[in-house]
Amino acid sequence: MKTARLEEEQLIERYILRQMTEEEASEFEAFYLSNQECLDQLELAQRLFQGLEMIAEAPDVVPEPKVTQISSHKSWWQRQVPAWSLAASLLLAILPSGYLYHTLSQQSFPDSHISVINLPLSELRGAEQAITVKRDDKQVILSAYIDTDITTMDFPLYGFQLSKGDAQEPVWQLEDLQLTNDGMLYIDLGKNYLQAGRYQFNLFGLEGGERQVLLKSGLLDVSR
Amino acid sequence: MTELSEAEVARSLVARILNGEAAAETEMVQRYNRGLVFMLNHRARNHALAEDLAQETWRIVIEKVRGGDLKDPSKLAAFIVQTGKNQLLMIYRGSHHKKTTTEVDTAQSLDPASQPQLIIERYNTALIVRKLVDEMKTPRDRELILRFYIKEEEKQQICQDLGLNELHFNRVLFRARQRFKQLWNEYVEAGADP
Repeated sequence: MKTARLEEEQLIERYILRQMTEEEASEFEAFYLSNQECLDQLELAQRLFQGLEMIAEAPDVVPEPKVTQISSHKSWWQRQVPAWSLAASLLLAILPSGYLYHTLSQQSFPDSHISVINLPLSELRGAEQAITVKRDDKQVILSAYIDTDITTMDFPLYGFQLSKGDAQEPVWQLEDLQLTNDGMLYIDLGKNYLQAGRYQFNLFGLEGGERQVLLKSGLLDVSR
Repeated sequence: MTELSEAEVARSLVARILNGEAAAETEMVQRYNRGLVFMLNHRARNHALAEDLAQETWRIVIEKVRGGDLKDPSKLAAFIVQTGKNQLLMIYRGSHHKKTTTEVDTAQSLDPASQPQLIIERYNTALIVRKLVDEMKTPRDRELILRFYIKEEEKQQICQDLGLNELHFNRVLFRARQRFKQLWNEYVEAGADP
């Protein structure tokens, strides 16, 4: 198979777009199996295709969830958010549901900049044992699965708050969060932004008129 | 020195494996594994599963080649592809050797892009592609790319609608891929955000 034929017949694109017959695809696969140059082109085309799919599904820049400042003093959350953090904040909205993942517990992946911590919603109060977050260079994302088959869990929007110590007012909160197609909520706590200490978190459902329904509360221990 | 054809390399590898040369097996895996994983990933849409199936494929391929079951050694690549596809088929038919796998485990293993770093990478891919599309000078080229890749319209139809010949069409696709390659390489080399 000549390189010119790859271009003329758009073999790479047709393969990536799954437009080949099974016979054609098998023949092409046997060809590219040991052809590093062709594999380079295939990987590139696949990545390009995935990117185009994603921007076609989310053609405009997706706004970040609204972050509300409540406490008056300057806090960690007022720092400039790096692009990495922004990316993680936005990826839920930009990615198709098939790309989303389920977390069963805390997961910190090697070679990853992300640590994902699951908030189990099986019981309302989960404060018996605090969830521990180790402050390091990883970006922390909390995830929670909302079972919308349970009517008391199904809300148009959700919110999340963090309070510190005995303070009544939260020091940080996110509003207007929506579920992904997989029923997941993701809360980006940023990268290394949380001061060490113990926080109380509240996850709540939001109905019209600002009414909040507490879905989960618990403790978050941020350690150095 | 003339480069050996794929058929010649394959025949030589098979002969050496039949001769008991362990290094030839390593060479075979090194030569074909990248393509095998790409093929399995393309078909399964799950990189972790593809890696897993590639391991099983190699176990079978090596066993068969050692046993002299490969009738036409020049078709080694096709044989590897077919063995890999069989492994994938067995997964979908639920008869893979891992009989102890629970339904939950299977569902998780088939869940695409289950790793956060992959999600981030795909997000960054989207940013780079967005940049690529925004950089395209003419709206016509942007339309061509989106209609071909996303709407999956026929090349002939796009050419007719946009008043292009096939050569121009090919050039736009080629240029887009090359520019994407450049942007992607810059991103990888910088090790930073796009």
